[in-house]
Amino acid sequence: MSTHPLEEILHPRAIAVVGASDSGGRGSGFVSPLVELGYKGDIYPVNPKYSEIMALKAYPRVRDIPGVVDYVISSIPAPQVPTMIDDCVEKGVKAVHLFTARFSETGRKDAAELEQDILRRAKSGGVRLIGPNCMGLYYPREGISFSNGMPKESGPVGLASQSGQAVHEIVDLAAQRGLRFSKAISYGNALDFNECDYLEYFAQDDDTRIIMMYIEGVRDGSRFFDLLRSTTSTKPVIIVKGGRSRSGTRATASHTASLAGSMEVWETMVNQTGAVSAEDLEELVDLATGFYYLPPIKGPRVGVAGGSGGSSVLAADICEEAGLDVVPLPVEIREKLKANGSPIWDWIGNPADFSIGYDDFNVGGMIQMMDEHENFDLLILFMSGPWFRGGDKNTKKLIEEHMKRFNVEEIKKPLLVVFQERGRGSKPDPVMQKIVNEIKKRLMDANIPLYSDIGRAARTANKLIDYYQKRK
Amino acid sequence: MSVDVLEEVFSPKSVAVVGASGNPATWGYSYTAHLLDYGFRGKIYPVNPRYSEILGIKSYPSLLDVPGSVDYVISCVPAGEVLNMLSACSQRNVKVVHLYTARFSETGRQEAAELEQQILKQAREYGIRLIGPNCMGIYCPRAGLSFGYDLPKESGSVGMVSQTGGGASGFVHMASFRGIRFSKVVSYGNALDFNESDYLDYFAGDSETKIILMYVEGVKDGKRFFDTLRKAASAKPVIITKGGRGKSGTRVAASHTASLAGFIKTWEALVVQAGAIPVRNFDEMADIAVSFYFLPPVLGSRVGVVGGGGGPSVLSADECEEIGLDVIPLPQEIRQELKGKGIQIWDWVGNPIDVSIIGGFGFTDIDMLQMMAANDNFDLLIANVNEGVIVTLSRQEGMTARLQSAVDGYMNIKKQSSKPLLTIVGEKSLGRGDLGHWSTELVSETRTRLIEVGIPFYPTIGRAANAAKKLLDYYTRRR
Repeated sequence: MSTHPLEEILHPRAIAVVGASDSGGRGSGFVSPLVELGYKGDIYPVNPKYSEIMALKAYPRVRDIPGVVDYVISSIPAPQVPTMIDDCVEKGVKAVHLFTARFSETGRKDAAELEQDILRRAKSGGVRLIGPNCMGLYYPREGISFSNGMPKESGPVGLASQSGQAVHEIVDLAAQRGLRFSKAISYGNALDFNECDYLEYFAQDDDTRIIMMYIEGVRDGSRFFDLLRSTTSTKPVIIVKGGRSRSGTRATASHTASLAGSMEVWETMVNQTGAVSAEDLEELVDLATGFYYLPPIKGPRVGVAGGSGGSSVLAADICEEAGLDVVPLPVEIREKLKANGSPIWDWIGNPADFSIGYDDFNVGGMIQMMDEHENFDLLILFMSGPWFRGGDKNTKKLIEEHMKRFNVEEIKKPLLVVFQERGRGSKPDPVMQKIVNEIKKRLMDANIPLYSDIGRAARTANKLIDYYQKRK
Repeated sequence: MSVDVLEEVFSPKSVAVVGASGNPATWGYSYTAHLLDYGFRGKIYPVNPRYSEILGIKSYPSLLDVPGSVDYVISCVPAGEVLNMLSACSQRNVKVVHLYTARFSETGRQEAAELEQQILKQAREYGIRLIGPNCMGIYCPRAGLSFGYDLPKESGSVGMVSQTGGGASGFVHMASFRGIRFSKVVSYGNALDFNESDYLDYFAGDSETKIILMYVEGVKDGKRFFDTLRKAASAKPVIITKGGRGKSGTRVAASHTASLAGFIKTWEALVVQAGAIPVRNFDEMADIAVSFYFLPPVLGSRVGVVGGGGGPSVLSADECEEIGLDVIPLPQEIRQELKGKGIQIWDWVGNPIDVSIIGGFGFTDIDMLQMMAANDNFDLLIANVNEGVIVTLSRQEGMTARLQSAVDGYMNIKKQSSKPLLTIVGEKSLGRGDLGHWSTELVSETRTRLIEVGIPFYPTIGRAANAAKKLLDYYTRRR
C-alpha cells in the first residue's frame, strides 16, 4: 500500500454519517449506499433526533460513538460544521467529507469566511477534508459509495471530479460501455485536498490505469501541470474543463467558487503535458472506452468497412475531417479478391461498402484482409443488429450467424465498432433488444469498444493516436 | 412535365416487381413483401418465369403476360437483362421504371458505363422515365410503397431525396424514433434520368411536404440545382448533407454512385446563399429535422438552460456559448420574484439552472423554466431531463414520478408559451446488461411521451444547441 496522504483516509475502519435521517432525503441517502455496497466496517448514523436509522443505532454526536471513527460524511447545515469538526478532532477522525454546501460558492462573504474557519479548525486538529459541496467518495472495493445503484465491481478507471453530478453521469455512461472504476472522487470546492492531490494519488495508484478528470478551476497551476506531465508518460489522463466560456465561467463561480482561466492557455498547456482534452462528458467516456479496450494505435491509416453506400461516403469524410487517413484499398487485397473470384474486386474500396457485396456480407473476408495488411493502423467497422422480422424464435442461432458474418472477435489490430442503435424513441422490440444486447456484450467481451456514430469513433481514435505519439 | 410524372409515381394504380422472388434473402422478395405489408391498394404483379406464385400472389413469366395495365415497375433483374425488360415495359405502356438493378457506371468499368448509357437511350426512345439505377426507390407510406422493413406506416410532413438507399432507410428508421414521419422518400442512386433537381423541384411544390431533406453526393447540373434549391428553400426548409467532402470521401462517392464530388467550402457557401441548411451527417440532419418538425420559429439567441447538476450546468453553458447561443445571466425580475416568494437561494441560483442546489427550497427546475418562459429576456429554452443522474438518486417509483412530472411541466410550458423548448434525454443504451433494466424502459416511455406532446429531444446538450443555432440562422436570414 502506498504512503500517499489520500491512501491513509481511503480505508476507514468505521464511517459516521452526520446528519443522517430516515426521511428518504440525502441524510439516509449516504447511509443506504454503504449498506448496499457491503461496506465492511461499522456504520454510525449521527443525529440527535433519532435512536435508530435503517436498523443501525444512531448517536446524538460524533463524540458519543463508542468505537473508533476514521471517516465522517457530513450532511448537516453549514453553520453546524465548525462544532462537528471540533468533535471529529477530539474523536481522532482522519477525514471528513463535507457534502455540506452553501459556502464560498454562494458568492456571500459570511459563507466564505465560515469556510475558512472550518479549514483552520480541521488543519490545526489534523483532520483532512474532502469538499465541501461535493458527493465524496465512490470506492467499490471498499464498499463505499454516495449513491444507490452504482456498480459493485471494480475496474481500472480513476475519476476526480469537481462536480458530483458529473460523477453520476460519467459512472453511468461508462458502466453502459463496460467500464468500471477503481475510485471516483467528487471534490467540490477543494478547500483542503485539491485536484493536484487527487491527480498525484491516481498517478501512483496501482489499481488505476486510466485517469479521468472534470475540472472547473485549478488551485495550484504550476504543481498541477508538473503532475500532469509526469503522469501522462505512464497512464493516460483525460480532462474535461468546465467554464470555457463567459457564461460557463459565471456558472463555475456559483458552482464550486472556481475562477476559470483563459481557454486557449489551458488547452495549450494541457496539450503540452501530453494529457488528452475532451469537450464534454460523452467524449470523456468515449476516450476512456478507447483507452480501456484498445491496444496502442500506432498511426492514422484507417480501414473502414460495413457501411452502406452513403454511410461509407460520409464515413470517409468524417474520418478525414477528424484527422485519420482513409488510405485507398491496397492492391494486394484487390488481387486476393480477384483470385478468389470476387465479382467486385476492382469496385470495392476503403471504406468498404458492404451493401454492394450483397451475396456475402463480409465481402470475402474484407475485415480479416484489412487486419492482416500492413497498410492499416486501425479498423472501424459498422455493425447493427441482424435482420429480424419478428416471430423468429431461435435467437441464439440469429446471434451466432450474425457474429460469424463479421467474425471480429479474433481481429488483432485496434478495432472500433460503430454500433447503429435502433429504438431510441418509442419502445424497442424486446426480443430484438435482447439479441442486440447479447451481441454488444460479446463484442465488449472481445475487447472491442462500441461507439454510437462514426464521428465519435474517429475523433476518439485520432486523440488516442496523438496521445501515443506524444508518449514515444 | 417531369413533376407530373413524379406525381404519378407516388400514386400508381398497379406495380410490377420484375425479378420478384420467393427467396426471402433477395430484394425481389422484399419489394413484393413491402407492397403487401404497407397495404398497397392497387394491383401487384410479381414477374419471374421460375415462380407461379410469390407470397400468395400469382406470378407472371414476363411483363407481357400481365393481364392489366402497369403504371410502375420495380426492376430487380441483373444489369444484363434490363434492356429486354425495357422493351417489354414499352409494350405495356409503363411510364416509370425504378431500377434497383445496379453494377453500372459506379463499378468504374467501361462496359458497365456503356450499358447504362444504352439503357438511358432506349428508355428515352420508349418514353419511359427512370428512377436510379442502383437505388432503393420509393418509400411513400400513404401510397403503400416502401423499400424497407419496419419503417413507419403512418405519413408525415417530411420529404427526403437521397442519393443513398441504405442511408435513407437507416435514416427513416432512426428519425422515426424521434417522432418524425415522412410524406415521401426517394432514393435515386446514379440519377441517370430523373436527377436531384427533378426530385427537389417536385418536393418544393408538393403540398404534403413541409420540410425537405437531401443527401447528395454529386450534382449533375449545378446551375439548375442551385436555382431549384433557391426556389425550394424560399418555400420550405431544405436541409442538405453532402457526401464526398474529403479526398477519400470523394473517391468513395465515385464508386458508390459514380458522382464527382466538388469542394465542400464552395458547396456549403452556395447552399447557404440559396437559403438552405448544410449539415455534416445523418445525426445532425435528424436533429435539425426534428427541430423544424416540432418547434416554433427560433427568433433570438438568448437561451435559458436547465443544465442538470453543477458540472453539467457549467458544460451546458460552455457548449451553448461555443455554438453561438447567448446564455444570459438570470434577469433581475426573476431574482426578485424568487426573493418575493421567500426562496433563500434567490441570489445564488443562475442560468444555467443548477438543479442540484435547488432541492428543498420549495421550487423546481420546472418553476424556473416557467419564469424564463414568461420573461422577455429569453428567446428559447433548453432543458436537460437528467435521467442518467435521476436513476442513481431515486428508486423506481421516485424516478417514474420525476420523469412524469418533468414531461407534464414541459407540456404546460409548451401550452403557455410560444418559445421553442428543446429537451435532452441522454443516450441510454450503448451498453451491456442494462437493457432489461426498468430505467431503460422508463426512458423509452419518456421519449415516447415527449414525441406525443410534440416536444423534440436530443441526446446531448451540444446537439440541441447546434440545432437551435441552425434554426436561428435560418429564420434570421429569412427576415
